[in-house]
Amino acid sequence: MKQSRALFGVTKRAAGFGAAVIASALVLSGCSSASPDGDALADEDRTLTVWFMQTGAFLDVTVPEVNKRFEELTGASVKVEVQQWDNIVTKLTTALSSDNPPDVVQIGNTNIQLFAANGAVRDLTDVLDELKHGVEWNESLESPSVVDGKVYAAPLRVSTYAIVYNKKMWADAGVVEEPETWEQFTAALDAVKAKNPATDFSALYLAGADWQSSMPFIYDAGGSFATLKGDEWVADVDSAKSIKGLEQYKEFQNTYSAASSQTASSTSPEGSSVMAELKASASIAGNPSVIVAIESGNPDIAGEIGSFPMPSMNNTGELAPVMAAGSVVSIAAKSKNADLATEYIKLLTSPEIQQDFVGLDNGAIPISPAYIDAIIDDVPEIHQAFYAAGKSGITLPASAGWATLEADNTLSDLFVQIATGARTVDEASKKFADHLNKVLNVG
Amino acid sequence: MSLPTPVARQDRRSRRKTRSTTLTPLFLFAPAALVLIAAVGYPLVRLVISSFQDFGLKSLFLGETSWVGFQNYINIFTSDDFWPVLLRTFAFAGACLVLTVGLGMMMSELMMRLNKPMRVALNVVLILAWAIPTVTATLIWQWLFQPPYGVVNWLITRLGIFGDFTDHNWLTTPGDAWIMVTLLVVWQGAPFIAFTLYAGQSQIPREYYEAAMLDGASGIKIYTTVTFPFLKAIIYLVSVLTIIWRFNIFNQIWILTRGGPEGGTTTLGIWSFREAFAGNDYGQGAAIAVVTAGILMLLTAFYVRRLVRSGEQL
Repeated sequence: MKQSRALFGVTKRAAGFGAAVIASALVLSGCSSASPDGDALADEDRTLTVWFMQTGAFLDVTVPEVNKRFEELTGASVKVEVQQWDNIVTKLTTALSSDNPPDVVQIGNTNIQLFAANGAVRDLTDVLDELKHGVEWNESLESPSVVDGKVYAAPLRVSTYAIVYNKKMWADAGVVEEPETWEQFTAALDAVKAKNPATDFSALYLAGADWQSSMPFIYDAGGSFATLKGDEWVADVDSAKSIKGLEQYKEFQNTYSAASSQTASSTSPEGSSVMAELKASASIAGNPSVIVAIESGNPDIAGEIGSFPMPSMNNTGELAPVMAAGSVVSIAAKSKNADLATEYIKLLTSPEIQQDFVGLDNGAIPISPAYIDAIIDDVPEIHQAFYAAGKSGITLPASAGWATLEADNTLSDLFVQIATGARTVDEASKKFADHLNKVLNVG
Repeated sequence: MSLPTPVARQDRRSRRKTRSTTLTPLFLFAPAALVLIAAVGYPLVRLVISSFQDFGLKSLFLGETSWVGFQNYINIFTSDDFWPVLLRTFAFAGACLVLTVGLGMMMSELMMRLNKPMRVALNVVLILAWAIPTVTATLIWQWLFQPPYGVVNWLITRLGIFGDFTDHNWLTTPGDAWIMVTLLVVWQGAPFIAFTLYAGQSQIPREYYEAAMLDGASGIKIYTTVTFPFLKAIIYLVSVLTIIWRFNIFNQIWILTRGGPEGGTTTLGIWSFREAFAGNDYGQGAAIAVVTAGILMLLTAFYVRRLVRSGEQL
C-alpha cells in the first residue's frame, strides 16, 4: 500500500509538472494572441518604432524635429533605434522577418532592391501621391525602390561626394586657389605632401575599403561595374576601360593616402576624424555634414574647412562622376502600425522637413530637385560643391544581388586588394567579375 | 475473483518496485529533456530540413520554399571553395591544438613550480585574459595590430630584427591575417587549459615525484614518466574540446578579417555564414553547417565512444 502511494506520488508530481508546463505555455501563447492589434488601440497608446542609421547630425537635428511633429499630429509616440552600418543587411533581414519588426526602416539605396524584390517591405504605390507632396523625387533614389512598377520606399536623403580640405594646411603648402582641373588638383596634393612628409600623413585620406568613394575612378575612365544585356547582367569591371580606371585609382590612393589606409575600413576611422586629428589635409566626403563632423571633432579648425567638386581625371574641364548614394525609408511588410508609419514617412518627405531640417540645418541634400531649387540660395557656400557634384551621379546596377556584394565584403575587398597590391588590377578585377556575374543574376 | 496468494503479492510488489524505480529517473530527466529538445533539438531539425530546401529571403517573407533534394550538398562538394576551406579549417584547428595545449601544459607546470605570490599573479593574469569577452578581446587585438599606431608594429620595429614595421598591414596577405587570428585564439584559449591541467597536476601524489627524484630522474624525465601519464586523460579531454571549439570558430575571424583577404581566412563557419547571410541563401548555409557537424562527429566519435565506455565502468 505504502509502495503504491509512493508510485502515485511520483505520477502526481509529474502530472503537476506537466500541468505547469501546459499552463505556462497557455499563458505565453495567450500573451501573444492578446497582444495589441494596431487598429484596436487609440493612437495615444501606440508606439512607432523607427530604425535610423548612425549618421551624425541627422539624428541630432532632423529626427527630433520629425518626432516632435509626428507626436503632435498623431498623439502616438516614437521610439528611435539607431543602427550601425556594419552587417546592416543581415540585421535588417532578421528584424524585418520577425513578428514584431521595426515599423519604419532606413535602408541604403543600394540595398533596397533586395528587400523590395523579396517582399520584406510594404508596397507604397497606393499612398505614393501623399508621400510625394506634388514633387518629383531624385531619380537615383527612386529607381532602385521600384520593382515591377510598384514603389516600395520613399527617399530620405541624398548623398553626393565632394572633396573637403583643410584650407590652412593647403595655404601653408602654397595652395590658395581651389583646383578646377585634375592637374591643379594633383599639383595641390603634391605640394601638401611635400610639406608634410610624415608617413602617417595623408594629403588626401582614402580608405582602401571605402568603395563608395573609390568606384568613381572606374566610371571616370569610361568603365562600369556591369551592364544589362537583355535580362542578364554582364560584368564590365574587367573591361579595358574599367581596368584603366582601377589602375588610376591605385596610383592615386598609393600616392596621396598613407600606407596604413590601404586596408582601412570606411568607418573606422572615419575620414572626418582623420582630418580632425590633422593627419590628413583632405578627404572625399559623402555629404556636407562631414564638414560639421570635422569641425566638431576639432574646434580649433572650425571655419577652416573648404570643399570643391572633384575634377575629372580623364575628361578635362568636367567634374568627376560620383556615386548617386543616399538612403530611403520603407515600412516593414509585417508592421502592425502601417498607418502611423505612412504618416511618419509623409513627414520625412515633406517640403519643410526636407528643406529646413535635412537640407539647411543638417547639411544633407534634399530628395527632390524642387526642394533643392527652393533652398539653393540659402545653402552655405561650402556646401555648394556637393550640390554641383551631385549632378553627374552614377547609378549602380539595379539588381537584388548587389546587396550581396556589399555584405560578403568582396566589393570593398576588390579595392583593398588593388590598393595594397596583393593582386594586380587584372587579377582582382577578373575574379570580381566572375563573382559579379554570378551574384547579380541570382533570382 | 480469488485473492492473490501472499507469494504472488510479494511478486507483484517487487515488480511495482522495479517499475517505480525505472520511472523515477525518467520523470526526473523529463524537464531537462524538454528543455534540450526545445533549445537544441528543434533548431537542429530545422537546420537539417532547410539544408534540403531553397531557403532564401523569399521563404522568409513570402513563405515560398521549395525542396531541392541534395542540391545544396552537391553545390558544396562541387564548389571550388570546398577543399581550400576544409583544409584551412583543419590546419587552423590543428595549429591551435598544438599551440594552446602546449602552452597550457607549460603554464600549468610553471604554476606548480612558482612560489605563492608569483603563482597568484600568474593566476590573476590568466583569469583576466580568459575573462575578457571574445568580442572585446578581438577589438583590442584590432587596435594592437593597427598600422601605424598599433603596439605590435611598434614593438617589432623596436626589436630591430625585421626592419621598419610601422606601416605593416596585417590584413594584406592571408598568412599575416592568420598569424593575427591564431595569436588571439591561442592567447584566449591557453588559460582554460592551463587551469584544467594545473587542477589535475596538483592532485598527483608527491610520493611519485620523490621516488623519481631519488632515482635521479631529470626534470623532463619526471614530466614524461610521472606527470604526463597522470594528465593524459585530461589532456585528451581538453584536446578534443579545443578541436571542436576551433573548428567552429567564428567571432574572432569575422571581426578581424571577415574571412578575407580574398577569402584566405574563410573557415567552414565563416563560409556557412557568408552563404547564408551575405548571399541570403540560408539553405546553402545550413547545408555547410550540417557538413561541418558531420565532420566534427567523425572526429570526436572516438572520444565519445571512450567516454561512454568509461561511463559503463563506473
